[in-house]
Amino acid sequence: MTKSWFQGLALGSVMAAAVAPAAHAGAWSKAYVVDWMEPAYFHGGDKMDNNGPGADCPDGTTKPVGWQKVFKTPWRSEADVKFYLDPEKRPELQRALRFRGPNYEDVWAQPWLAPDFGMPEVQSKVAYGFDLDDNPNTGGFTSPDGKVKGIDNGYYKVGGCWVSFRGQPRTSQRGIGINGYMTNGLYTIVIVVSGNEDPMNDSKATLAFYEAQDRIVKDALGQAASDATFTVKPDIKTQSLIPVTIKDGVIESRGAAEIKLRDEAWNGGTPSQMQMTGGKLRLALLPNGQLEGYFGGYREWKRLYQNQAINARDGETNQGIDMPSFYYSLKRNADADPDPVTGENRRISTVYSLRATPSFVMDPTGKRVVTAPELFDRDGATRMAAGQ
Amino acid sequence: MNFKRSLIAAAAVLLTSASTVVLTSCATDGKQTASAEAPSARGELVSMRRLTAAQYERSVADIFGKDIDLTGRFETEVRVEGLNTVGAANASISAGGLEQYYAMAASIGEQALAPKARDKTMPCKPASAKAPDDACATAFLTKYGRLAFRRPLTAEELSSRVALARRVAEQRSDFYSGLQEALTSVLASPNFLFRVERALPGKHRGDRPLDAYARASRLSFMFWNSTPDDELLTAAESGALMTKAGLQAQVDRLAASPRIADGVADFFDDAMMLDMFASQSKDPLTFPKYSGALAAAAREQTLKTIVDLLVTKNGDYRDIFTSNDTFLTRELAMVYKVPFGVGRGWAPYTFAESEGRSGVLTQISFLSLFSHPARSSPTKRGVALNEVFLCQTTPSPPGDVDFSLINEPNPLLKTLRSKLTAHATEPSCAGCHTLVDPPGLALEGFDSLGERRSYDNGELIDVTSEWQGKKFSGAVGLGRLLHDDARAPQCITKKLYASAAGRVIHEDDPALKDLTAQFTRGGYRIPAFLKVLAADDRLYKVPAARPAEQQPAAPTKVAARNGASS
Repeated sequence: MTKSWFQGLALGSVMAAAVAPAAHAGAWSKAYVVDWMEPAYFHGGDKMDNNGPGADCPDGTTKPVGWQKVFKTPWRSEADVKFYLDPEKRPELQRALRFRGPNYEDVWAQPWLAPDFGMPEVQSKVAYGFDLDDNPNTGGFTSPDGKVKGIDNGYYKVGGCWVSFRGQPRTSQRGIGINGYMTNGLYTIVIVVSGNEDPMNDSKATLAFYEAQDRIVKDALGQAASDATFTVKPDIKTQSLIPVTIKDGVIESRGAAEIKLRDEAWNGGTPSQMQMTGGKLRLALLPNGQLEGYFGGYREWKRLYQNQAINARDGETNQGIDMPSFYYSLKRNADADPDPVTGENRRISTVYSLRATPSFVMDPTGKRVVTAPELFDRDGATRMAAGQ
Repeated sequence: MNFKRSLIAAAAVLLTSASTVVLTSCATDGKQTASAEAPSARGELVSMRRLTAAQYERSVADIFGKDIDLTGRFETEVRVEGLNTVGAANASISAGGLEQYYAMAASIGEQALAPKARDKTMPCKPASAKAPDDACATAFLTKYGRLAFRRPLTAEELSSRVALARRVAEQRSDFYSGLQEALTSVLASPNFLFRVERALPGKHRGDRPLDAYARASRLSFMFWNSTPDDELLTAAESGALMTKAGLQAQVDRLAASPRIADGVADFFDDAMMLDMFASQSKDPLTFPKYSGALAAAAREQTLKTIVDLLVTKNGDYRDIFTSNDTFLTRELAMVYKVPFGVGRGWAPYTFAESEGRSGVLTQISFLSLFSHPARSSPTKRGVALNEVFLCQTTPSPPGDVDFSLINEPNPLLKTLRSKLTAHATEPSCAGCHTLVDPPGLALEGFDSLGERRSYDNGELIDVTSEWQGKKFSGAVGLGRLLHDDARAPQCITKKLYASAAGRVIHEDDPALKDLTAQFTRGGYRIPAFLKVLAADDRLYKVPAARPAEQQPAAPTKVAARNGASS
């Protein structure tokens, strides 16, 4: 770092440090680091009970199908099944579990070779999210406050009763787990919101998602510390510029947008790209300076399946989820992007909740604060977003 | 072994008092046997200053290399007149403390004589690694004993340790094991743990010059805060250091060394009481960004800032109150709420005027050290500012003072300013609060951690103030005021002089006024002033005792009452 970039830093610090901005006109920007992101699954059960029955899942969280039933194949004898189901043979079961196709195939990779035992789906009509297709007669969900009809959230319908996903916001097993990977340093997602009118009211602002090169800094409470600086990773696969409006501190997308960012983690490996079409978002600027809300769009359902099927050992053996049944459920609830040949939908509506904390975001060189909408390609060059 | 036990027992008894009689005994490791080089022949013992932790660490690194890992714990420092280096003259070593020092000495000996380290440390090779070798042991102990004791060992000091090395080597059939025990005895000796100063006879009291070795130590610790090197000791041995030209040559050499940065950094670490970070805590719910690592970085930030300004740039001392050039890490930048460029280490940074910061007073170190764990304290900051930078001490609060107005929630008195104003209406409190609160209130734009803020308990903070008959606003106004306050250069002159001399410097000390004038004429440059001070013959004179010095000086107020409530 040298003084040559000081002017840029100073400008950025003045702009980005505002906590309670007053109304003013002129270029402005605010930056954040995502400190929580999870599928937005409305919990219809008791607030204190993540597993019990509720309007969403009348039978409570998904019960195991039963390995005796799932593991038996035409070529596997009852004695073999009995051998593997011995609790002391759990390691052997974990190794053999995926091989239950008609000809020894791996059914995590080829789920269509296994039968559909039926994945319990969400039964209620309440969900978080957006009317992604602008059709209140589709989707079938209404927002918890009843104001938004036709919410499209097929992914919630599929996985909302899954034991690791179910629960109050920020309390589910999976939510804690995947966000733990993120806050412990596996990946970092940052946001820059910028405009030319006013941070609280701007009719033509832009929200940018970037992946950062730096790890999240945790504070004494174990949360992402505010005001840390992050440097953008020049990877356009994990960047998107979303036109938004801001009204009284609430940021909403202007029309459908393509949303690209680093996906949530599924295990200890670095997650791949999250890519949504027809995306929308609604995030509120909180009095404490944080940003909180939802974003959603249509994701390729096969990619969602693959993310979890790559290593389904935990899902299958510890949570009793039958991966082929999950596959069939995703396929059944896919609601967008029909294949021109087969007519089958290739995408499913999804919604994620997000919370972000104030930070600073620098360009890939680390020498300039990002204050305007721009994308950064791998060699560090920048190009302005079309239409901005 | 028996020698160890007897050494510990003897030294523990001897070191629990700081009287001259005891110190004289200590200087020969408790042995009273006369010799041609008995202490009495080398001048009268006039002071013993226990090495501060920083001086111990730097000395060990200089003697044996920076690879030596110090794992022990040091005795608590004694701060007098705002300086541990002055309080060191009042510091003793407890029996428990001696155990710690002994353990550290043993550990250093083990590391310095480990097989991989011998090539570097050994000045000779023993005839056999499994048998005593007096010649090689003598060579080793002569070299390292001289560096550790900051003078050559007496014949008896050397022979007793050679004998120890021989006995142990015979018992264990291991030359290096014997040498290690002998080295441990050197490093556990009061002659290493204390800076022993002796004076030559003078014409009258107050005119006794320090001997050449004491002179060498004062020079070395003043510029480098470490033990004299071989060249300096050689100058002392030859007598060159007692001549004007010889002294000036060494002053010039020491001042020209980049290691002057160590001396300046350690002095300000001491003067700004940054060692108090070791016991600092913050309420994690209120200040979740605080951590031990952040505290360490904040301490280093201030020292880097000062060294850069005063040594690297040879800047005006008074600019420490106004300069916004500093160094940051990513974690520090989070507290300052400024962006930090790529990289994980330190990077230079200049605060913009809009940040409202002004010099070291607005760095995390000062702001957070002189605050409560969960809230700021204009009074603590004011007391510290007066004492650290202006040498103005504040009396302790009355024993029956009622802090409830400040500590209890009050819907009518939301800000600390309003609470302090109400508290200061009590006559017994007003006197001091009038002196210390105004500068502290100007820093209320920074919370207990040092983050900027505009509101206190929901109310807009007023950072205007009036002090010493002058009105000002916020940290920037305070910085300018201090920059132009004539007491500031006089105070730093006094503290540098006190630190070098290891004693309290009184306002009527004839040298003080003269030294301050030279500091002023020199453009308030610290390196230049150190050279002036080091070349001044008065630094090496033992002053006549004043009646007030019959009793040990009182500990520094800020350090002693850092738990006070307001």
